Amino acid sequence: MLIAIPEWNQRISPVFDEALHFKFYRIQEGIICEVADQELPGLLAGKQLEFLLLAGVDILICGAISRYLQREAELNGISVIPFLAGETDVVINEWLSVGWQHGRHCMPGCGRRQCGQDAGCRSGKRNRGK
Amino acid sequence: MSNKKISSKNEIRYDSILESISDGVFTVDDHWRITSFNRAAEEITGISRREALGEICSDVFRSSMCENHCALRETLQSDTPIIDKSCYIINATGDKIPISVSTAVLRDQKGNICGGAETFRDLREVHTLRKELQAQYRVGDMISRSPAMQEIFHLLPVVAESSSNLLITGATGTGKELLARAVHNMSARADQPFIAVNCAALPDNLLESELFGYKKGAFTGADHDKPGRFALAQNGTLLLDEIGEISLNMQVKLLRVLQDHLYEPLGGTHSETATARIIAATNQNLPDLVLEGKFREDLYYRINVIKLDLPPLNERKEDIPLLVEHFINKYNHLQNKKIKSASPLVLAVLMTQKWQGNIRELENVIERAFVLCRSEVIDIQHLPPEFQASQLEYNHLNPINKLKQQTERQLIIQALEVNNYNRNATARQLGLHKSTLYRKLKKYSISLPASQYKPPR
Repeated sequence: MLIAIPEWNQRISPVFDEALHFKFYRIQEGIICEVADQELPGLLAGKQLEFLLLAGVDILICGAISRYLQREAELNGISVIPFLAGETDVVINEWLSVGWQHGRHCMPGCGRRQCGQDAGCRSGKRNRGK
Repeated sequence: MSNKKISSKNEIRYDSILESISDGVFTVDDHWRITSFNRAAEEITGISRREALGEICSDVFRSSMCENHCALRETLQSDTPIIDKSCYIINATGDKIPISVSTAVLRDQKGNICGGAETFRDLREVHTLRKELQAQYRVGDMISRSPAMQEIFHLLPVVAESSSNLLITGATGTGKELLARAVHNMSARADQPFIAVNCAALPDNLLESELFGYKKGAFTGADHDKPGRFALAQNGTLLLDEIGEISLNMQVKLLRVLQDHLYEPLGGTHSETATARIIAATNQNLPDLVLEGKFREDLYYRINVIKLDLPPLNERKEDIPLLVEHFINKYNHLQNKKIKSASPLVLAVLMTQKWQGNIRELENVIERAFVLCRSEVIDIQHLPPEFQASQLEYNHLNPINKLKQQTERQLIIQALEVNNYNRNATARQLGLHKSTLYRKLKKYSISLPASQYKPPR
């Protein structure tokens, strides 16, 4: 399973739609077995979603994301866990070890309906450790 | 009254002012954590002050600029305020909200920078109003503010209501099919099919079977019934594009359909009824073709019940900036790019072109620029080389000279056209010596039709 997190200053990028740098985690049996950093290639400027599709990403953990891009990602088979904030490594490790805990890493103002604590949490638990 | 009390009173007054204004305001400390967040900021972002205070500003504000072009960071680094920079934020429900941002530095009592303030204005209402305004200049996929096109736009609802045959004339690339589609989409037939046939693309026998269809066994290889375009456009609209290109023989067959609304598929034994509205389009001068005996007069009058004449782009140059913006939006959407505009120089150069291919040619130029452009603004180097050549002169002139040269170029082109590209006659009409005209043709990159080209001796 391949997870992508847009990253900025070691934290989850605030806005996926504008992200330029991605961190990829390959997970096997609940453990991170490979980590890679990748800039958005110049040829794919402004095409963050195409980049993830080309990379074969299964799960996208991100900050704010426009509704249109979230829907496009999901229609293309990527599970989206949006509106999260915090240090990238902390978020992924916490998710893998204990799952989402209520209220943690949620972006301010993000209702339970949107962020990883609710919908994303369920998909996270379902996919975790594959 | 002590200084402390005065200061406290001032703070209360400032807070009241911040609460009462309609622009969102927040302040950050030197660690980018939010220290104040006014009522309008709560309303625009959908985030309560309680949740925002103490958080990192980019996690709260979530603007398109945060990561790569943070206005506040720029201000704190340069100590220069930024005014009305456009961007968008994403609220908690995933909506993109257009805003404009202004920034300022905050200093402590000793004058040291201790943080920054960001003011932002919700532009949704402005954008809605702009869209409404643009809607006045738009019908279907057509966009124009020129008086000639506005006249056509005003006529369209009435034309669409009618079922009478419609003739659309205009040079190539002026949008005849778009206009036909607009008429169809505004009519009561909008839910029925719109079928377009390019009459010039097919030889006579194929055109006949294409229009009227055929029955099984009508000819070798006809192993099943095939409905024609008249049948496919049943109750809808049939566009006969390039009608001036069809043969006299085909014109007779078409005349019968238009007169009696009846046609017979190839190999058929009885007539079928045509219920489609007919729109014909051409870039030819049909009355001239009638005079030359190449187009039947009765067919001409039959299709020319209502006529709309689309002006060439040269006669509606005021539309070029609007069209450029329209194509930029279109290709941003199609190619998922974020180009914002064309530079003023590009617009100026586009305004001076002759546009023989009309709007289609302009669209191709913008599409090409999209391939080459890696920034947010289309610049002169993204235009085709012949366009760049015309700007070389343009670029080094002062505004008055630019205007003078544009005018001179236009005058020469017009005189050439009037004189059928005869350079001697053109030079005479313009009061120029022949060699001066040659020099100016070269200077302004005015090309002549290949048949007229003779190098100066």
